[in-house]
Amino acid sequence: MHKINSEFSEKIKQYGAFDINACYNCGNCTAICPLSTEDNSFPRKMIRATILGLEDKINSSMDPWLCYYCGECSDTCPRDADPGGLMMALRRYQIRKFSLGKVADIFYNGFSSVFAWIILTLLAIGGIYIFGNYPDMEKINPLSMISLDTLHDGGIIAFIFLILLAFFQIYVMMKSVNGFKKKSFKFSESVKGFFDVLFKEVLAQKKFSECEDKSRYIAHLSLVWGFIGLFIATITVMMIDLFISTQSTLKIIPKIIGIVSGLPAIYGSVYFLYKRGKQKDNYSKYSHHTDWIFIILIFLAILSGYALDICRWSLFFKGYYVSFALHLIIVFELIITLPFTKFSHLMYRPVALWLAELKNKE
Amino acid sequence: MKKRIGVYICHCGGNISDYVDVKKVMHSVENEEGVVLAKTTVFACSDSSQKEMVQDILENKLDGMVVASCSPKLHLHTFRSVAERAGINPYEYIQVNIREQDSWAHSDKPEEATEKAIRLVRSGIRRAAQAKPLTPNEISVTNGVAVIGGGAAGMRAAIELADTGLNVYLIEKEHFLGGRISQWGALFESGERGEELVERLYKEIIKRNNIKIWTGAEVESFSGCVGNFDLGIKIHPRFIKTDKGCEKFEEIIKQCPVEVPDEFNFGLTKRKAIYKNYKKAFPEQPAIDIDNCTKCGICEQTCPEVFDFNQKVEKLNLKIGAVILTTGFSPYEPKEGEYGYKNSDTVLSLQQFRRLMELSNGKLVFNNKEIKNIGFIYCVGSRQKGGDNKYCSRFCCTAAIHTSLLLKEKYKDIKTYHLFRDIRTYGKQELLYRDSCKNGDIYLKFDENQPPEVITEGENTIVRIKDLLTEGEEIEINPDLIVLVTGMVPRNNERLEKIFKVPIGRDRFFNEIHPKLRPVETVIDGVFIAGTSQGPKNLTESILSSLSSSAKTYSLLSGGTLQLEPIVAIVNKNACEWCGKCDEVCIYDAIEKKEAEGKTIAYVNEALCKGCGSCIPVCEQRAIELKGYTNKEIMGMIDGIMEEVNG
Repeated sequence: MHKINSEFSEKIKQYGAFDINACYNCGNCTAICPLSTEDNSFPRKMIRATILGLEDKINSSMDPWLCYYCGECSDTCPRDADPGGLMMALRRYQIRKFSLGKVADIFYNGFSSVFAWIILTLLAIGGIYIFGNYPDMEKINPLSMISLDTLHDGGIIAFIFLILLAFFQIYVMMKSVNGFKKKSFKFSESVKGFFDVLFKEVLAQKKFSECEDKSRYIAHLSLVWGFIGLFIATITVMMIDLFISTQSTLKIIPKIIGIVSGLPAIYGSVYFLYKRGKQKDNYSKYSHHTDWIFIILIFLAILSGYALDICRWSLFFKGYYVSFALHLIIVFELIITLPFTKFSHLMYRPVALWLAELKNKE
Repeated sequence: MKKRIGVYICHCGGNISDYVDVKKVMHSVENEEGVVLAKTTVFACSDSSQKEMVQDILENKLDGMVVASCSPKLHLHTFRSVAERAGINPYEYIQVNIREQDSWAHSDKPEEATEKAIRLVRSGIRRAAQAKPLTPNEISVTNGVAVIGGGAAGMRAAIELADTGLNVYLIEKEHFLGGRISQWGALFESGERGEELVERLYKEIIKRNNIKIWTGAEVESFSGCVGNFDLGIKIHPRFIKTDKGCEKFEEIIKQCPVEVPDEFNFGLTKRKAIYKNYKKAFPEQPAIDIDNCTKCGICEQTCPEVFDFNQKVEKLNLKIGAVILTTGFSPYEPKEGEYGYKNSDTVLSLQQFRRLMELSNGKLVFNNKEIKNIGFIYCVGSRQKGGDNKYCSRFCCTAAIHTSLLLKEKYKDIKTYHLFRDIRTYGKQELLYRDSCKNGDIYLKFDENQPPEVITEGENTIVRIKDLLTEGEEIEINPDLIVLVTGMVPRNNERLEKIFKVPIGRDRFFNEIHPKLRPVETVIDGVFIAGTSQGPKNLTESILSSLSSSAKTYSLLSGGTLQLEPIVAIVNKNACEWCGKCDEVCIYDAIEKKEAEGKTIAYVNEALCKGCGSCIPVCEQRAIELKGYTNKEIMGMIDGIMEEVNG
């Protein structure tokens, strides 16, 4: 027995999706959606749940995370109800819902998010100011600005914070997902499903590739692979610094990985910035402010990384240290807010795909 | 007996000649008695063939013609006019059907088909030999048309007919004009109110001298034939003179001590014994409901000159040429307990709810409770699988959705839930549906086998529905008011049906001859139907049909005379002994008992007779015959068919 809450579709407007009530249940969106199956009428089920305000249905659904927003549903919608936009809005709604203490609220409210980002930036600058030193201007040595110990400790703290939060929020998500019972599937199946998702969906993004617009898939894949490369490069540098030597020539390896990985990442982020700016395609017509902040931060993080290298080669010392500080600030902001922003799809989507896979097997 | 008959056998481009040996048919009939010419032709209906026929008739001085081709439904008139052009009477032309009734039906047996064709053509020739020239009867018609029912369709028809110069008699049962639209309030899509439309129509009507209105009037009798009917009407007194005015009617109505349920508002309010349906109802003078009047005399004290309690029921006989029935519809009245109707204080029909909206000022209140949530249940009394009303009333989806839009306009915070089976907002009405969706109105779809459940617990009303759009899950709403979206049913017209003998369709509305090609005519010549008396329609569609029946009426009566089909029954005065059997079987009432030359005989009213032939076989004296199908002709045809075919 469900009760109707017609306020909900009004409420969802702050996350996007402005005209979902226009839907008259023709089902064109479901017919065109490459993800829709006989058992899961995608995205119509979510539209209906939104219109009727069946929050338990929405909270317990993984659908928003399975959608890649190719926009074909919105293209074919005869009432311009923008079903794809709704899926994105529901994703934002769920990020907020699953976040610890609904902290994500801060980032999804336009007004408070401005303050949050300012405070985070000030915190990062303050951190560098307090824990850092005046850098060595004779030669380029980033560790002269922030000591290896500080970086190491800060990194460890951030990672522990992140992992704990991620686990907690994924737990919240799994709990609210409908029909998820531990005993209903075998351990071996779960492990197999996990690797399936890891290889097919995270690394190859197979479902994304089913969207008609392949350029978007390629751009996203570039971003993902670029990020994986950059992540490996960063970790390797840290490892060499910690366990071999800060002066080791081995550092050339992560350096090369970093430069090479940066290129697809730059391509991906520029692609999405350009598309969002142009607002031509359905998926980029409407951008929530959280979409903009996410893609801009990603772009700046990579850009400041390259600036670092350019300054190093051109021996522009001041530029190098400024870029380094900027890079640290942006990376700090990206990582620390990961569970509360669009970045969190990094953890929610694989989990949702994994759960969906297991559910299919049931 | 004709001596010079021309026979044409048509190939129909292979439709006939592929199965029937047309040459053989021609050869076997060319020596029949009276045949002077027999030919085959590839397409008898082609221009060149027609010209050839005219030439043949003139050159050979033919006095009869037979074409063996397709069904007379297709080309009887084509060849009748060929005959006419060549100077012979069109009724001396005989069509023989060897396509639908022969070559197409027996395409697997060409030999037998050929033999059948020979027999058919032969019988046609025998009939042609006996055929007599006939001329259509011409009658003069009365300049007058009665419109029965003074709703929107009737009023509109009256104006249109009056403008063509016909005398119009507008007859309304109620004491006020306007019918159902005066009850409705704002109309889709202009937003104009029904009352305003009634006012506009009324003002147009009274401008025209050739429209006579009778309110409180009923039809008593109807006789005669197309072009010249007698319509008997009975006029109930209003007890107030309609030619006199009084500025204090409102005050007078207020003073009346009698209160009875107001039918105009479907019992939601009370009215007085002296009443008007609504403030600006027309005619302007109120009427007195004499059955409920206590004759206390209070009303008479104010404007004594307008009252006339001596008025009596008046009977009139009108001479008219045609009649249009615009008697309208009744809203479906849900059965007691249907979705809680009448069992609960929170259930109304859509028609009642529209009156409630009309009567509300400021807040929307029913039974002292402010209404904030409304559940509309669609298809109540429509599309019933088991019940009488199998049809869709076609106006109600739009009406309910339009109502919902009006509600949102007037009361911002009101929430509406629409429990429907299918939404049928066809044409432009789709835009209303879109707007309603965008307003956030909630639509829930139920299966006809699992209708919503209405549960009333004290003041609380709960509606449960298995929503097909949400995977059949059960959804519960708590409306303050349930509105049953009820459709249209025919008015209780039994008496009129008997008087006018208009056929009734499966859905119990008046029935037209052909739903597409003759949508406003009935099988009774001169009796037209329009508006919702014929079936559910929205106002636009009602007016369309009323204008089209006006046009049909005008084209019938405008010439001053009418040509009637000459194929009618004829009585042999000498043989008739008046047994009355022909009268019994005649469904058109064309047979009359008449005294002539010292004895009682049957007389055929040629204007009423349709030439159906029902009376012929029942006459034991063989005193009655059908022109064009006389006994001689029929016997000749039978002989033509029965005689053996040689070779």
